[in-house]
Amino acid sequence: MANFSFSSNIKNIQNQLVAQSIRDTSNFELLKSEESIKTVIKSYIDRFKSVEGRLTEIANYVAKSKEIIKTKDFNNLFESVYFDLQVLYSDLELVDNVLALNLQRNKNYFSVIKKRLTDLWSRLNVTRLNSFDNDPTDECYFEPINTQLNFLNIQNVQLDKKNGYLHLQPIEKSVQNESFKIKSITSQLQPADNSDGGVSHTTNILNTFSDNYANGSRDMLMNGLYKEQAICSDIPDMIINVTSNTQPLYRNYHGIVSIVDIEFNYPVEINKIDFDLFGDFVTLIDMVFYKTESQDEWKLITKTQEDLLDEADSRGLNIEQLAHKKGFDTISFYNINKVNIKFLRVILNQENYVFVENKAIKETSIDERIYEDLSERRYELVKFGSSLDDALSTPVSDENTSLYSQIMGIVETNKNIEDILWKIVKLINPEVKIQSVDFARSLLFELGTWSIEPVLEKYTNQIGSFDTIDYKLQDKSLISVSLATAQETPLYTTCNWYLNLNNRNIPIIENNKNWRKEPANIIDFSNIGLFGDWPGIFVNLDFPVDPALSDNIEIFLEGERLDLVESKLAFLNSKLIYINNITARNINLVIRYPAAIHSSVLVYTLSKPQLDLNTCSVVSSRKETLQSLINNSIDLRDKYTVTCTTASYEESKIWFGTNFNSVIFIDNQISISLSYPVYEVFKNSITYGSSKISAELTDIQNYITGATCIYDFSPKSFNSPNMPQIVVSR
Amino acid sequence: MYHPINNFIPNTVLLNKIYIPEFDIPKLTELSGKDIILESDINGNLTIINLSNPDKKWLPFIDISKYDNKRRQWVFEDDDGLIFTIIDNLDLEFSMKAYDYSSSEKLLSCLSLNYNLGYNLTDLTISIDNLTKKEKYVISGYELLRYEPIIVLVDGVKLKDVTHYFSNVSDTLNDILTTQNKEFYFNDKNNRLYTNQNLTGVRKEDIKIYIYTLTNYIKLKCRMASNIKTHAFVTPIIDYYIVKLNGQSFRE
Repeated sequence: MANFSFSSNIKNIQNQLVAQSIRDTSNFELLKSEESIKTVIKSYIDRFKSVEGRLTEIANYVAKSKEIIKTKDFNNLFESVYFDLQVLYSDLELVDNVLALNLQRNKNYFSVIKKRLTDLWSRLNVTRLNSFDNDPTDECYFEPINTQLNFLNIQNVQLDKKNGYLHLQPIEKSVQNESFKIKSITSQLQPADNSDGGVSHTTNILNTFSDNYANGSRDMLMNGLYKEQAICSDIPDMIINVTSNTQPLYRNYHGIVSIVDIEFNYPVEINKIDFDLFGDFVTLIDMVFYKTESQDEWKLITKTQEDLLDEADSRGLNIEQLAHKKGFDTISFYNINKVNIKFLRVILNQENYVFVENKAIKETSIDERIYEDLSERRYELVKFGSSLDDALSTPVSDENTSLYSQIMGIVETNKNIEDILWKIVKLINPEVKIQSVDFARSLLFELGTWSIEPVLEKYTNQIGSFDTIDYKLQDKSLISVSLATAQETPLYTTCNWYLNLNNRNIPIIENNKNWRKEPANIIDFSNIGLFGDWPGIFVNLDFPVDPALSDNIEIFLEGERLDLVESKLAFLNSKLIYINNITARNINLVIRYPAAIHSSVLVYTLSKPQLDLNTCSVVSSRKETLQSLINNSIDLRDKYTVTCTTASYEESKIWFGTNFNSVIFIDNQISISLSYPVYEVFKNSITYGSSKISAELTDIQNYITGATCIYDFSPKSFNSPNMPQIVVSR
Repeated sequence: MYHPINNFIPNTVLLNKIYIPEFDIPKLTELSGKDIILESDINGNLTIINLSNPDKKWLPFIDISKYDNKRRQWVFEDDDGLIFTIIDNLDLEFSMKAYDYSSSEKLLSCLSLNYNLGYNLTDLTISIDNLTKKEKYVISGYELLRYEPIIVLVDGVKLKDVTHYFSNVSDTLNDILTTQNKEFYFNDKNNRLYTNQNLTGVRKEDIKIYIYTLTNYIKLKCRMASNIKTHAFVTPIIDYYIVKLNGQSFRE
């Protein structure tokens, strides 16, 4: 099939090609299918060359001067052209189909690699964590989340399968890299091309944004291989002013740097950027800038301030808050402060390289890989969807611009058949640049992206939740459980963990942190004694507050930090707080507080099954005491169980005395303390000694069972020196 | 070695390490009949009870807060924090006699002795004088059971547990094949109970073994929220998590 001529029967050739292609592709191997495509492409190139770019000998038919135009000949001409074009179309469709098949295989191949890589990465993470873990455990379950959601009762959360993050369910999403939104894109590679200086740019123009958005399909941001390439004689070490602002911003880089400038047709809003990176090495996204107007100064894209919890002092702009990350696969910047952008500037840096030649070889094909490996063609993008419905790593192909449609576009928009053929050849078979380099040593640097996707995502305002599967300890009684997570909780977002044991949720603080941030659990006290008249709200916390740090407690209302001097915060006990100037119940309130992590004790309460633990609280420092109490009453025995909860040590001392002995404390919001078995009642906790009232066992049991209580309960404030004093306007 | 009565310290807790025994009640499992296999020892005497089940390895839960490792005795507290031990099957011994206990009568609350059998202890008003006599007490038809990880009854007679739960000292039995000193120890390695009793002629149904176990699995629940009613443009993100489980094993 090396030589074709116009006289060859095109249909036969086509049939041969099809047969050959099918033979080649019937074996599901990547390499073979690529070869088959190359065969097809080569056959076309040969064919076009053999007829000098012309399929139909138009000259035979075109009317010569002074000759009479014969209608029959003319009709034959068009029939012939029509026939040829029809064959060409069907052949091209075949090529497109073969490429699609090949693409699919490449995607699957890539998926397998990606999965294995992720798996290895996960194992590496566990190994690293175990190595540095000073808290050895019998069994350690690592859940990387990036494979699939093995969870139960999933509500309002979504797994981003592209990068393996779990986040709240988006309710609106606008992808801002669609062709019609983009005005132009340029990129600038540093260090500049300078053969005498030992730098040679070898980027293929087909892999540049500027070509794609000026002459091409204008979809490279979504779906194409943007790739910069340079050969350097040494590792570049540069200081670059990465903005054009009046105040220069100098950054020091090793390797090559690409500054990509995207101009949108109109300002768009973004709060997230995804990068699908290209390359064998880790690439650094150093910084991302934006401008709303062309005359504006470049501003940094920053992430919403991450609440580092324990590291309260580190607040302020730091590198962690910038869109700054290294990665080899995908990089996602979530929770960017929502900005309105018309210009976006991305700084990519690649400091890794390969040696491409020694001194003896003077000439090499730099872009060999794009020639050899069709998967790097711009139309061969591996694209992963992030929807939960897709299996992970199943590429979404509908975003690929079909080669066929591109060719059809060329055919339909060009009148000159030579132009058509030239453009098709160029499209199918990018030029191979032959580069002659004469450096003492040659380092090849590459960087690029498969896609850059600025997104505006709005998330649900519902609570997202999920239950995990059972984590089991083989043949052993479970004694303790702790939890390490890698999670981000930007300011006023919360992510709280609970152990679920016998259908009870026990709060747990992850990562040995001392701080807790949780949505306020507002308790309705409107029907409880004196509290009913209080205008504010009562909030029950998961953990006792550390009295020594209680000044640092923070409250956010709808994302805004409240001034606590104004808000009049008061502690009724170490877990129950009262906020005076907030009245609405259905509000988004976040409490950020230091938990008394090293100064808490277990206390025991009576609770009714199926009732919230905190709404019915008879508290004792001894389990046996309560057990004895309810066992002495048939009424109580059937209705209550003894469960344990936590309280601040300091607070417990107030309740139970310094020896923590013989005292029951009824209702954590009401100051009655009962001594057992004498049953002394402490009316008001501020002056304990002087307000003792004696009570009988039956009185206590009557109180618990809901009978009329003869005692006048009054609220107690937790008077630690550092606790804000209760201030109530009534 | 015990806490003085007036110096009771409640269970301190780390909020980031959940101590499961406080949240779960040990489950008592009864094994008898087909659950067990009787085996002979090296001398051909039928003295071994094999709990073997290919799917289940038994590791009883030991409430270490109530185990006196040195004396190999389980210790208990009454409501005042008075700690006492049971030295024989049902004989009580107050090792707390050293404390100045003025009252001549003492109300014992032994509810922690047994998690499953609830019984009324109001009748158990024991005179200190009586206690020194080491009388046996039977309360409302129940034996005063102490908390032990494994209880073995052969023909209704309880064997004394001489297992060294927390040390590497070899377990030994006294007076093999005698009716005195009815003893057993548990070997967690092979799931067998070694007794000094002649089990020949004993029906497997007449051997009852009670084992306390605690849960061995846990679930997690996570709640994420943006906490903004409108304009929720931020989200918490979870990359991965690691659950660390610690179990209890003998002789660590």
